[in-house]
Amino acid sequence: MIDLLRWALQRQERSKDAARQRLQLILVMDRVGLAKEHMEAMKADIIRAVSKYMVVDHESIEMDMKRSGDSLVLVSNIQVKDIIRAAITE
Amino acid sequence: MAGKTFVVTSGKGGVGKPTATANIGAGLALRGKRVIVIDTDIGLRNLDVVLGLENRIVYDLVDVVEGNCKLNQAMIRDKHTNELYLIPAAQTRDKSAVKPDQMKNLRDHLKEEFEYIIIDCPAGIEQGFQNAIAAADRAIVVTTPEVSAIRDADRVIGLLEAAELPIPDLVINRLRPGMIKQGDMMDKKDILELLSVQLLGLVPDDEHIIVATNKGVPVVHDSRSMSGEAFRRIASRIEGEDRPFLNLENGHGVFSKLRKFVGLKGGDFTDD
Repeated sequence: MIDLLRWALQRQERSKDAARQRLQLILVMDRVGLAKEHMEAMKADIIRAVSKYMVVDHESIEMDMKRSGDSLVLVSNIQVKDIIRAAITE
Repeated sequence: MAGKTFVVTSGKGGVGKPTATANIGAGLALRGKRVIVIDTDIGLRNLDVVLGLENRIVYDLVDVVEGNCKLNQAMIRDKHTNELYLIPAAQTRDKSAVKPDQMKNLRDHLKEEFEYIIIDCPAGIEQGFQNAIAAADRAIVVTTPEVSAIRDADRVIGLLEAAELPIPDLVINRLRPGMIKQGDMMDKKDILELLSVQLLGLVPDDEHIIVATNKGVPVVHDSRSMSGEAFRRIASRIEGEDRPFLNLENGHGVFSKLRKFVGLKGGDFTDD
């Protein structure tokens, strides 16, 4: 009985779903790797936006696309030197 | 005459590119179009054997671009259709023997005489790929429903976009209805969600293709084979007809098998 149940549950796992999910990530990673200029432009835009509210160390900024489990994340490491008070009270 | 020029490409090897080129070319020729297929896989020629023309080769693509022969001396006429010609690849040279400008020049000459020029591109994305796409107006990307083939197809699609070609047409080869039904093979919808292309054709994994290649007669001539029907439909879509796609996603029911067994029409191919 247990074997039958296990067999029935295993049948539910369709390997094409694994293929599709893996490909979704692979293709994004490949496309990001190819679009280096896009990444640089995005980095500049993010720094500009953050700089409206905080004083950041431009030299130490790191930004990268990384794989985290089943999803793709944009990891950014920005060293904050000070908060711009005018922006908070606005 | 101002012929249309297609490049058939895939990125990954082993997905059936020469077979697709030969069958699309023969399929268009069966419709009465004047077609020339060019094998640009220098050093690893294949298209000649798929078409069964390997014994007729005297001159090749490199001879043409280097001026060792006249263009029409390197054009081999097909055995099965009067309107199909082949320019074979050189077997003893390498991919640097042809330059993109020479391919463009060749295309300009062939456009005068042919309605369709179909260029078979080598696997990979190096010089051979650049030569093959240089002369093309449109691209046909061939893939199989596998992770590695689709990944490489995506790379190629990006490079075709960078070369300012229109959105490519996709042929999905070697589909297996039984596996799709079980959920163990990606189907048409899964693949179209991943790639930025338009669908040109669905070709089943079919033993008839192996038999056809053994004989050197493209499967498109076999009226009873499913893959032959798939390529006939691809040819008609290239000609602008709106033909339904083959249904390759539900396996084959008992009734369709029975209809086929008793020889009833309509039992052979079911539409999507």
